[in-house]
Amino acid sequence: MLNYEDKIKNLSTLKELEELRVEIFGKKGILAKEFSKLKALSTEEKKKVAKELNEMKERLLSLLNEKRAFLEDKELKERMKKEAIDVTLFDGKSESGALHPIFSMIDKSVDFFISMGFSIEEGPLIEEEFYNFEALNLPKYHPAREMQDTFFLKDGKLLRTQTSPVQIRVMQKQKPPIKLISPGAVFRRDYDLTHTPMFHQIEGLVVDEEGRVSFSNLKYILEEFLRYIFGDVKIRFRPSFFPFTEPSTEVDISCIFCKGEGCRVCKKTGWLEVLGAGMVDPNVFEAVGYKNVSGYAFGMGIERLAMLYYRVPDLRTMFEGDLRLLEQFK
Amino acid sequence: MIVTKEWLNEWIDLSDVSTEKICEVLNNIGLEVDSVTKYRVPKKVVVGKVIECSKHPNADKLNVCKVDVGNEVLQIVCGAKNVAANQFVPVALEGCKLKDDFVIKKATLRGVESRGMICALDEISLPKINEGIWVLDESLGELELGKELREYPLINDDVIEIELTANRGDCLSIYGVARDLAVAFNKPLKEIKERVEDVAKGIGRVVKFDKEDLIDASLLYRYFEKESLFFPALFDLRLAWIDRLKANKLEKFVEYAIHSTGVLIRVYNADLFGKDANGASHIHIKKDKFGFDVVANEENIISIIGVYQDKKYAPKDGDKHILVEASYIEPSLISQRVMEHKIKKDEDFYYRSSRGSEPNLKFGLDYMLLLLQKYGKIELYSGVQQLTQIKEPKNVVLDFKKCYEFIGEEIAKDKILKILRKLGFEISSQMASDRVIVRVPEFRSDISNEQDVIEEIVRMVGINNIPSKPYISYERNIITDTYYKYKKRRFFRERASDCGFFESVHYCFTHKDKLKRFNFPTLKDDLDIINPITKEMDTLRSTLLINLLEAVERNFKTFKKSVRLFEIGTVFSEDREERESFAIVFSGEVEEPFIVNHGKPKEIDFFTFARKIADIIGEIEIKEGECKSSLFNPYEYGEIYKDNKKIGFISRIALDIEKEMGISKTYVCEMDFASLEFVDPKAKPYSKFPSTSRDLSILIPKDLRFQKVRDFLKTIVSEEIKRFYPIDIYESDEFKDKISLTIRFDMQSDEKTLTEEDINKNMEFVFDKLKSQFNVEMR
Repeated sequence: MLNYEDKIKNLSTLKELEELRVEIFGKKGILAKEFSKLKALSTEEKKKVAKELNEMKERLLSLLNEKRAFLEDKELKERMKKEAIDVTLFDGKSESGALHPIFSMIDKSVDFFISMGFSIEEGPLIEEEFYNFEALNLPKYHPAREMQDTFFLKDGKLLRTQTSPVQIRVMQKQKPPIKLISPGAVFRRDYDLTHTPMFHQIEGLVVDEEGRVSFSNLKYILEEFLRYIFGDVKIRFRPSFFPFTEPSTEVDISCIFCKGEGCRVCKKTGWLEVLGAGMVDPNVFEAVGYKNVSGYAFGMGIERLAMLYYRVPDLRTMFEGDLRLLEQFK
Repeated sequence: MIVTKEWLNEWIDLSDVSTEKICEVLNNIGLEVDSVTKYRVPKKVVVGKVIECSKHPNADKLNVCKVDVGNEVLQIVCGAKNVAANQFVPVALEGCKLKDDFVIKKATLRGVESRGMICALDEISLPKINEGIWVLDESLGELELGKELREYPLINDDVIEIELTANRGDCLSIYGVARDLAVAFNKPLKEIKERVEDVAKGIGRVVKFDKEDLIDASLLYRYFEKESLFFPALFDLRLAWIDRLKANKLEKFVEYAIHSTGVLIRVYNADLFGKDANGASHIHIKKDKFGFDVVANEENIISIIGVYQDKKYAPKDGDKHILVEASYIEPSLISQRVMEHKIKKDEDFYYRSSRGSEPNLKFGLDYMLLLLQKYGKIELYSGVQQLTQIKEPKNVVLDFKKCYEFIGEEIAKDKILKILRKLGFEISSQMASDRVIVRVPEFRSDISNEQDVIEEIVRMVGINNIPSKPYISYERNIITDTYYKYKKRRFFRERASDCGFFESVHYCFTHKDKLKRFNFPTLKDDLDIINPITKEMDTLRSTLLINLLEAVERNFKTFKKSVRLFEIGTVFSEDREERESFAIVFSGEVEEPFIVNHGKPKEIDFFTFARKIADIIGEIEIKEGECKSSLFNPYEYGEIYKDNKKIGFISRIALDIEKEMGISKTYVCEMDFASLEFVDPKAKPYSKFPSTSRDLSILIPKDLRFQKVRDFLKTIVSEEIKRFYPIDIYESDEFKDKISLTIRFDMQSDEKTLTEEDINKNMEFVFDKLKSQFNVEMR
C-alpha cells in the first residue's frame, strides 16, 4: 500500500491521476479489495485493520487531492502559456468620437467665465434691427453698419450679425449688476477662404453702478482669460473703434507659433489679434434706459481662438464635418 | 489709408524715428498698421541723362540712346516709346541685379551694342505708373549724374498701410495722421508758410453764384486760368503707392492734395456752366429733391456735395478756365440720404465725406493752389466765393473723478489737459477743481460726449500703460435655466462623442429645392432670406440631416469607410420658429477594422444603430411610424419614444439616395432636443434573490409587429418577469406565412428564489395569453 503514496507523488498528468484514483478508490479498486478482506478477520483484528485502512484511505485521498490541485494549477498555467497572444498586435485605435473644436473652445471659455462668476445667456438667431443695430449705437445710416454685411429676411428681420443683441435683451429684463457671457452662432454675408457665412462668438458684458466698473477691470478679465487659454503669452491692447463701446480696444497676443519673432500666421508682426472689447457706450445704456451705470463688454470669434489653440489650418473645413480633421480631436 | 514715412515728414519731423517705432506708436494710438512695405531700388541703378536718341537701324521699335551716367557716356538700346533726348532716367548699369534671375550684361541687340538698361518703375522694384521708362525730375531730389537711386530717400520710402476704423475720418490724410502722431511723439506740426499769389482780376467778374438758403455744406471756391501744368515724378510715385493713378494732370494734383490734407476738392470746367451776356458763368448752389446740396447750372445738376460729380463737367487737359471747390459736409447728413436713395456716388470721394473730411477748407485749397503755382503756370483770380456753416462748437464737461473711476487709474490733471490741447481741444474753462469744459475740434465729428473725450485720453496714455485690476462684484446666483440648457447640451454632446460619434457644425442654411424634394418643411416664402449668399444656401434649414448627409458624402469621397457624425443645432419651422434639433448619422462599417474582426467589420444595421442611440440618450422604444420623406427607406423607419413621449425618428436612408450619393448603408436619427430630459437618475430598491432567464420560441404571423406583442405583454406579465425582449427571428418555408420569434424573459422575485415550478408557471401563463391574443403556436 505504501508504494501508492509514491505513485501519487510521481503522477505528472491529471489523466494519470484519474486512472490512479480509480485504481485505488474505484469499486474494484485496491481499497475496496482490502476492505472486503475484513470480513474474514476477528472482531478485534477487524477493528484494528479497519482503522488502519481508514487512515490509509484518508491519507491517500488527501495526497491525491493535493496532487490534483497542483496538477490543475499547472495545467492552467500551461494553458495560459499556450494561449499567449502578441499584445503588440493592438493598433492603438479607439472607437470613440470627439467634440468639435469650435464647441470645445466654447466649453473651455464657458468654464473660465463660470468660475469667474459670469452667468450664461442666450438669444435668438433671428433678430430685429433694433437689437442687432439701433440699440447698439448703430443707427440706420451709420457707415459702420456697412462693415457687417447682413442677411436680411423678407419680413424686415435679420440673422444676427453678432451676439451683442443678447446684451440688450438681458439689460431690458434685468437690473444691474449684470455679469454675463453669451456664446452662439452669428451670420455675415461673406464667404471666402477666411470668412464663413456663419461663425460663433462669445460676448461678455459687465454692468454695475457708475464708478464700480473700470477699464482696468476689463483689462484684468481679458488678460486672465487669454492666459488661461494660451498660457504664457504677451498681451497687447490697441485702441480701436466699435460703435457700442468706447473707449474700444483690440487685443493681440504674442504669436504662439513664432513666439513673436514674426511668421506667416502673424503676417510677420509677431502679434495675433484675438478679440475686441471696450467700455459700454453711453448710447447703449440710454437705449435700454439705464442711468448712472458703467460697464464693459467684449466679444471674440470662437473660430479664430479655436484655429489658433487647436492649430486648425483651414477655417472652412470646420464646417464640413470632415473626419480627416475631426478624428484628430479624439 | 496709406501713408509713407517721407510724406509724413512734410508735416512732422520723423527723421530720428524708425519706421518700426512709427508703426508701434500708430498701433498704440488706435491707427492699426495693416502692412509695411519698404521700397528699395536695387544697387547699380543710377541717374543718367539721355544726350542723344535715334532710331535703331535694324529694328522699328527700338531706339539707340547715348546716356551720360556721370563718369562715362553709354550706348543703350531702349525699347520704350517715351524715351527722348534730355531726359533724366534711371539707368541699370552692367552687373546690376534687377531681380534674382536678371542681371544686366553687355549685349548686342540686332547688331547694336547696348551697355545697360533704361528702366521703368516696376523694373526697379517700384510700383508701375506708366508704359515705358520713368522720367526723373528734381522733385525727387537734386539729380546728380551717376548717383545711385537708392541714395534718394524720397524714392526709397517706407509705405505704411493703416486700417482705419470707421470713426476716424480725421485720419484720412497724411496731415491727419501726422496730427495724431504729433501728440503721441510730442512733436510740433509743421505749418505752411508760403502764400498763394493772385492777380488783380477778381472771381466775381467771371463767376456769379446764386446760393439758396438752408444749404448744409461749407463751400469755398476759387477760379484760375490754367496755362501749363507739370506733374512731378515724386507725386506720380506717391499716387502709385496709394493706388490713385489718374490720367489728367489737374486731376492728379487734386488727388494728391486731398490725400495730403484731407480737404475734399473738386474742379470744374467753368466754361461748361453756360455764360450770361457779360460772359460770366452762373452757378447755382441749391437743394435737390432728395435734400442733397448740389451745384447746378441752368439746366443740370453738375455735382452733389460730398457724393458725386458729373464727369462731363470735369476739366480735360486742354481746358483753361477752372473753378475749384473745397467742401465739407456733416457725414450724418449725407450717409442717410445716399443709402435711402441708392444714388450714384464717386466711391473714394464719398468714403471720405461720409466718414468726415477735413473742415479747414482754406488749408486744403491753398495747399493745392501752391502746388499748382510751384509746378505749373496758372493765373489765380483774387477773391473767393464761400459759404460757411457756423457750427455750434461742441462743448463737453470732463469730470476728473469720473475719468479716474472710468479708467481705473488716476492720470494727472496736467497730463490730461496737455493731451487734449495737443489733440486740438480747447480747454475753455475750469469750472471747479475737479471739472473742466473742453471744446471739441471741428475736425473730430466723432466726438460728442464725455466718454468720447475719455477715449482720447486713454488712447494717448496708451491702454498698455493702464494697470489691470479685478472687478469686485456682488455675490449672485448664476445657475439659471440657460445654464442648465447649456449643461444639458454639453452632457449629450459628450455622451454622443463617447459613443463614437463626431460632433460637427454646419451652416444654418440649406437649399430650399432640396428640402422640397425630400418633403421637409420649408420656410414660408414671405419669411425667407432676401439676400442669400449662394443658391445652395438660399434658405434656413428645417432639418440637420441634409447638411449631415452631405458631410457623409464628402467623407466617402475621401475614402472613409465608417462615418459617424452628430450635430445639435438650430432648425427653423415653416413659421421660422427656432428649435434645437439633435441628429445622428451612422454610415458604413460598424467599427474600425482590426485583429478581432479580421479586418472585415460588418456594416451598420438598424438595431445596432438604435442601440447606439439608446447608449447616448438612455432607453428608448421604437414604434412604427409614417415615413413622409423620400429621403428615408420606409421599410426601415421608426419613431423614437422616450418615457412614452415621441421625440424623433430613426431610419435607414432610401437605397436610391444612398446610391445617388455614393455612400454605404446609412442610418440617421433626428430628435427634438428640448424633448430630451436631463435629470439625475434615482436608484430604486432591487431584489437580492437570483435571477434566471427562459427563452420562448413561438410562431407568429409574418405581419404581426413586435410592438403589438410588446404592448400586450406589458399589460399581462407578472411582477416576477422583470424584463422581456426579442432575441431572434427565424424564417423558414416550413412555417409558411409565419415566422419564428424567440423572446427571452428575465425573471426574479423580490421575496424568494424562484423555483422551477414558479418559472414554468410564468412561462405557461405568458404563452397561453399570447396564444389567445395572437393565435401563436409553440415552435
